[in-house]
Amino acid sequence: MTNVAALEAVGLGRRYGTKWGLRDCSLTVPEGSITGLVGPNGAGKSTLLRLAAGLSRPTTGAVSIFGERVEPNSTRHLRRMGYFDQLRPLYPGLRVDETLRLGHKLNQRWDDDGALALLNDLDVPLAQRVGRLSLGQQALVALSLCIGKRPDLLLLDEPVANLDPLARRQLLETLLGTVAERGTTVFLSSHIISELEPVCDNLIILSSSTVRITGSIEGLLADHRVLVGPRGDVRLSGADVISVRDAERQSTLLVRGRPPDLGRAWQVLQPDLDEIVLAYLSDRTRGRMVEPLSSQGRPS
Amino acid sequence: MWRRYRVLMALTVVGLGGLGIWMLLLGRATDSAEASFACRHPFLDCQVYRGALSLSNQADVINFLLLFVPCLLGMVFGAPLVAGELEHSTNRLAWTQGISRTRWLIVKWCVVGLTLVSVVALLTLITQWWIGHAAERVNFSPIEQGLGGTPIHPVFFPITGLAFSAYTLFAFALGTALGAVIRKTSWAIVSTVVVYTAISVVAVLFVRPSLAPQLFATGDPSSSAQATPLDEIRGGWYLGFGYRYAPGTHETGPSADVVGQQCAVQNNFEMCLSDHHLQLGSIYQVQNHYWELQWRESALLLLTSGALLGVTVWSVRRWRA
Amino acid sequence: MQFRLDRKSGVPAYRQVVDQVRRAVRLGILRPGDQLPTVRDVVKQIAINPNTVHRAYRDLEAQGLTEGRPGSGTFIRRSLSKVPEEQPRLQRQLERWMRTARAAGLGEEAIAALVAEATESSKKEEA
Repeated sequence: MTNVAALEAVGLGRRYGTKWGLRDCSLTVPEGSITGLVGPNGAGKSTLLRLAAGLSRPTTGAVSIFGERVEPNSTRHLRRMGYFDQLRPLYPGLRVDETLRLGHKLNQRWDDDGALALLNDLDVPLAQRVGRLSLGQQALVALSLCIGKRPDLLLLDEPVANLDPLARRQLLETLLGTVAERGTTVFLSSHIISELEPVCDNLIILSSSTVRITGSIEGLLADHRVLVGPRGDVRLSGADVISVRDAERQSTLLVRGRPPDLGRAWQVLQPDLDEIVLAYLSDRTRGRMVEPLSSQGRPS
Repeated sequence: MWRRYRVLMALTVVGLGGLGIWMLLLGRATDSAEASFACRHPFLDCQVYRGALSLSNQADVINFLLLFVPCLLGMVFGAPLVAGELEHSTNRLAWTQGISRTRWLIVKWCVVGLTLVSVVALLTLITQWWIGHAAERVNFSPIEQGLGGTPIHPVFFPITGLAFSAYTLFAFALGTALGAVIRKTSWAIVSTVVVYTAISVVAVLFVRPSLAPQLFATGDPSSSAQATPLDEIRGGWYLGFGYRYAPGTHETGPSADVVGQQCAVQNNFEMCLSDHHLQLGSIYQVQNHYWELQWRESALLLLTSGALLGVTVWSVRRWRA
Repeated sequence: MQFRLDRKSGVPAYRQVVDQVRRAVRLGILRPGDQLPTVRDVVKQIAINPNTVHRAYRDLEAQGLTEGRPGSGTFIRRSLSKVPEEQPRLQRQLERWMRTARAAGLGEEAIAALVAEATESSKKEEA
């Protein structure tokens, strides 16, 4: 395993007119990991992924893939990266096999047999025009275009959005199968946390164009506690309170780090990932690092 | 890449092929008609001119359609080349594979552009033949005394020689550039038609007449007593009448046209002219300047097409998600 | 062998994989010398992170239950139950008890509570 991060962003930002699509984003995606990007619609997930793919030029900062700086008109970063756009664009008039041939012509590295076999196994008709396929099948064709170039990093923008459960399962299986075989680094976005949890090592929470927090899922779970106790103005010394929810007689707090001892009136509970993410989505302060993202590569 | 255009290309080939066949048939028909007894005697019923579907009218229709061919091809193939990809977001697919935007565009442009030029070049072979057999004769009928009917005439010039292909390339380059800049196919189509028409008109009125030396024939073009035979003017491209200083007597000062027009409003017009050493006559381009004009105009169109390609490349490189 | 992922149990995915392998060995579904499914196969059955599967397999190796042979895969090294012959009989007894408990009107929660208490008390007896 090399020391170069699969994806690195430093102070990355993109402004559209007066509005910032992404602001001051710094993160590192380690090689071999599966990192999820979660946040509500409009949070900046697509902006970040498009900047990483070179479809957009940053207003501030820079992003690089395996050490190669990403520029819209250069091709160096394209060699090791596969990009799956949210719109899943394909040419409707082309047949599936013709689409794969397009991938062959436009890429230096291409595994024709692998891509065809992949779609064959999933019962996608190779002679059918792409415009006539179902949404799920189109998504699989788009994915096979990304995978066929044998990338070391896959960037996926909401890959399973709007797909029926079977298609979603097929797409995830295909994606994870590639990771199992080749140790591909994956960086994918979603606004549904439950989709990401079983699949990802690490999580980046994005909201209102800024990074709220990053960390391994295990670390996030271990590092946060929910405190439930009587409602009141509780000042917790030394505790990092992420969010507070007040009911009529009860307060629920999410804290990061070791919770202080508050006595018998307070319950200390383990939050699930949903609760943690939601708490950060409503918090206004800037992102903070829990721990360096875990890079669980393949065992040597 | 070809496959995406297969339907359009097929339609184009069929359409232009049909036009070509029509021209061939018409040429043959006109040939045999003109050889017939009726057409050699001016007051008999010559089928070349008889009725609405007469060979003469058909020839005019064909001519009209041919003039539109470059613009149509430019619209249909050029406008969506970049704009279509942007509208359907397929550029997000094409530009994240393995080749740069510049290379992608240039390859696409060259493949489609050169194909169009080749198809039109083939059609030009038919058009050249057609002009000699159907169009030209028609204009020499005894009923029409008008001037024209040779390839240098503005009605035939852009559909023959190199110009037909050059105008097609130009229209394609124009459509592509406008599509890339405007980013919407529908608007690109409209603006391509407008700009192409404007450029065509400017070319005929202002550029082409000056691309080769103009000739001057003194005397009233319609009178029989003049130095240059009428046929040479008729066989060339009549640009209108004008004034010039008699050779060897040019004085510095106001231009011949200005002085001539001042004389024209006076009573003793002829005396005014001779006092100022002016001559009144026909200005025209002679037929054997045809190829010179073709080369130069095509070269200008080629250069402009190159510049438009440059604009397209610049626009594509500038695009941001 | 087949894997299942229970996302609602709160048990981490890698633990579930480890537990299911151990259970399979205990029940004789996997015997010493059998090959574990490859990471790819596991991922095909349950769509989880391959790194999770790697981790589970590493855990099993650390426990001495499995061994990895480079180029071949991961294989079961030893068995777990001390009295393999008694197992089917004990299993049948347990199933009979289950039926009785159900007939008596005990729900899943109550049964689980009984089992947990019995486990606790037997641990205390052993200690």
